[in-house]
Amino acid sequence: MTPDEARARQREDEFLALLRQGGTVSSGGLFDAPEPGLRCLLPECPDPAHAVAPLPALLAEPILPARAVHPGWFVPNLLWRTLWLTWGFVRQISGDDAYERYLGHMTRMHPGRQPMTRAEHFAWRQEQKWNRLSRCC
Amino acid sequence: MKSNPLGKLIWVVVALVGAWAFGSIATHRGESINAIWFVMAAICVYLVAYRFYSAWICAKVLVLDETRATPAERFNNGRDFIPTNKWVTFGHHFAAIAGPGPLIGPTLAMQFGYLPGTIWILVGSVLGGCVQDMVIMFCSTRRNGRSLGQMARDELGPVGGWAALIGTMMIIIILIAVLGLVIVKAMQHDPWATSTVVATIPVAVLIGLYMRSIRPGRVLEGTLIGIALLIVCVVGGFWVDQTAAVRSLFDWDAKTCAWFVMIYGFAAAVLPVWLLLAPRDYLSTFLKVGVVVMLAVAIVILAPEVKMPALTEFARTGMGPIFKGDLFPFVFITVACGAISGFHALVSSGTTPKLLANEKEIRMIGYGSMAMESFVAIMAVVAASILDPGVYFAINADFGRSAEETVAMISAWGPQFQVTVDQMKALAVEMGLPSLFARTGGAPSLAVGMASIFSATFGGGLMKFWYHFAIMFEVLFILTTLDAGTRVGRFMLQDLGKHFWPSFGNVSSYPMTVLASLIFVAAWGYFLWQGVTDPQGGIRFLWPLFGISNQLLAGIALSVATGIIIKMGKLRYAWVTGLPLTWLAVVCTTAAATKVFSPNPEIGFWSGANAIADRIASGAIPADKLGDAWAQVIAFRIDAALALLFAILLWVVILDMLRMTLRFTSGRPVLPLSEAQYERTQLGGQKLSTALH
Repeated sequence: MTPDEARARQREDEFLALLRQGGTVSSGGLFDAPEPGLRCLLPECPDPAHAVAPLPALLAEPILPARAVHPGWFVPNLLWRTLWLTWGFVRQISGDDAYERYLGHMTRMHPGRQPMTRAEHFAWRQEQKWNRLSRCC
Repeated sequence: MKSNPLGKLIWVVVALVGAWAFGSIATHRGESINAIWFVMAAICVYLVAYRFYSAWICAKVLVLDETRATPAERFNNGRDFIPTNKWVTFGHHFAAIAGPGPLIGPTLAMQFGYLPGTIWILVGSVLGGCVQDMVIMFCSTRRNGRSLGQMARDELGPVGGWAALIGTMMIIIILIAVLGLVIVKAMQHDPWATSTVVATIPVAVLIGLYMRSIRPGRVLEGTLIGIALLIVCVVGGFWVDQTAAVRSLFDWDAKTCAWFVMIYGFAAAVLPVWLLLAPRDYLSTFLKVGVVVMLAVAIVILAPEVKMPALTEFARTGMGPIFKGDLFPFVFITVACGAISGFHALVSSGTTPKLLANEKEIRMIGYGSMAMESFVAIMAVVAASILDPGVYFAINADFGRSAEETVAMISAWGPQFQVTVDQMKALAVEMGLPSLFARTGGAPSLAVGMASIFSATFGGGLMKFWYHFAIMFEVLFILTTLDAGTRVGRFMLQDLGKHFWPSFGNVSSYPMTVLASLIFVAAWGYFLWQGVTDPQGGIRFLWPLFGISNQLLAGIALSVATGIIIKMGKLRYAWVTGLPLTWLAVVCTTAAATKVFSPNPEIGFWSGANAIADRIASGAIPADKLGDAWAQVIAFRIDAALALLFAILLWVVILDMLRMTLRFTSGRPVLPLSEAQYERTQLGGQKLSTALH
């Protein structure tokens, strides 16, 4: 483990510990003066240099990454667009395309890194979702 | 905003239609009124409030800044801080806040007639609940997505922080207990419902395995297969109900159902989430959104007649058969989540702010999704009040009498409440049940209402299938709250416990997980057991207790919000959260005081406990029931202490906020605003730069 890796790993641990304790995320000094270039804190990313990402990489993800091929004249354009948008919305809101989004994130933010497999990613996402309050009365 | 005469005209029309519909509901006295009026009044009220009130708050009080980077952008870690499309965030937020509360609460509140509940759902949500959700979301977004408890600690001080922590813990315990009781009452002696619910567990496990191992991460596929299997479960339940040999296996009494719920909650908390909890949540969320949309469509198409009177005599006497207590404050306590829910503050802080891509979305997501939730409550009002009033009371009230005596009692209330044993029997046969009498808890009467709406709109003759589909839907998403709550409660317990016993706080230790889960399940299990063993159905005292705890948490959240608004130098706008806070303080204190000190043993916990103790002393209770009677005395005393504790917690936080306000206005030092530094957003690119210039 290089010193950089160790430093990033340590920051990752601190970050997780703070989130888990629900403690003083701001006053811990971790976020008050973030070092330039330490934005992404993915666990498998020990490289602090990656995060000076180009601006487009930080854009909010659009609902649909690409457009589907229009089936032909017999489907009205507007209907096709609406259906396609709805489908993209359903996929994103259910988390069905979460892995594709994650891969997109990895290619933009961490080129050259080994991403998690689909199964690993799914398990990781579920674990983090249910370790906090996510359902009301 | 540009001046647009057509736009102005449209808003004038919306406001007039809303006022007209609201007025019609409020002044209507007669046989019945069409449900469309409710839908119209609600939609217009939400539209006007959203367009004007929420916009005014965002512009003048919160001063949302669309150039300011959100925590999701600044800490974007691809994990919980992710800038997300606003409609997706809206969906996640709505799925998180929409629970069984707004369906059950308004159903129970119908005992006062439809009017008090409807007015409070509409007024309370646009002036209270939506404002609370939005302001708390704003505060948390400006504070790196911190939770309500942390904000209370940072802004008010350690006292407020502890009160928020204990309040949260107590509300989760009471919430799970009362929801558990609702499903126990829905399942008892209904083998069809019980077997369907039991069968959903292997379905969830199967889907869990499918999404984890067979086709990893294919959530939609898994969910669709799961929904299909759930429908098979409902049909399978019919077969169980018809087959004498299997039927008796699932014909459970209330105590068996309660054990089932407790074992289920414990299992879901200690098993890995992917096996049971997460897949069941996928299924129930899809079902929840689907059924709510279906119900809205069906009500609009069918336009059913509301048969419940606007006001029943129980609004005047306070001696209602479902729960005892005056209109004020108990209609507000009973409606709870449909108008204002403290629980939402827990999701609005800490969870959703980490997804917001831009501050200006707070208005739509915070205010808008609570308005939607309140609309769900209005649909519950419609579904409950299209039943004949006599039938509604025969299902929801437990007099502990025979069927003939019950219908005689209800019919004696007046010509509108006529009901006969034959009518109830015919209805029970239609719903595929042995009996509909005294199925308390709100869920069965809601399911009867929903089944009549669905079968009339989407296909008649299948009434019993619709009924059991509705019951399965209710039970499924109550179980979601139940197991997610048990899991979070376990974490909170371990977090608290580690101050006394460090190794108890180790969340990755399996023995500690089991121990903490056992303690937490025992805590809510105790209250559930109280409800199950209560001779009058239990819901009559557990639901008010839950309502008080929920409104208490809302009071804490509004105190934190008011404190922050004052410290932002906006004292003159502090009424935006201060007014609902004052109202909640009055409601909560009156309700808690009534539940503790009322001399009427039917209402007050303390006098209730004393009344039973007196009966024990006078020897009126047979020897074999003595144990149960003493247990009830102790239970009522614990409930009294709890209600008192809720009121004290609320006042501790309010006084802490007032102390801080006094110090601030007199120029003495207070804790500084813990708002994060301004950082300019890099998101939005083109759109944002045109907005700026």
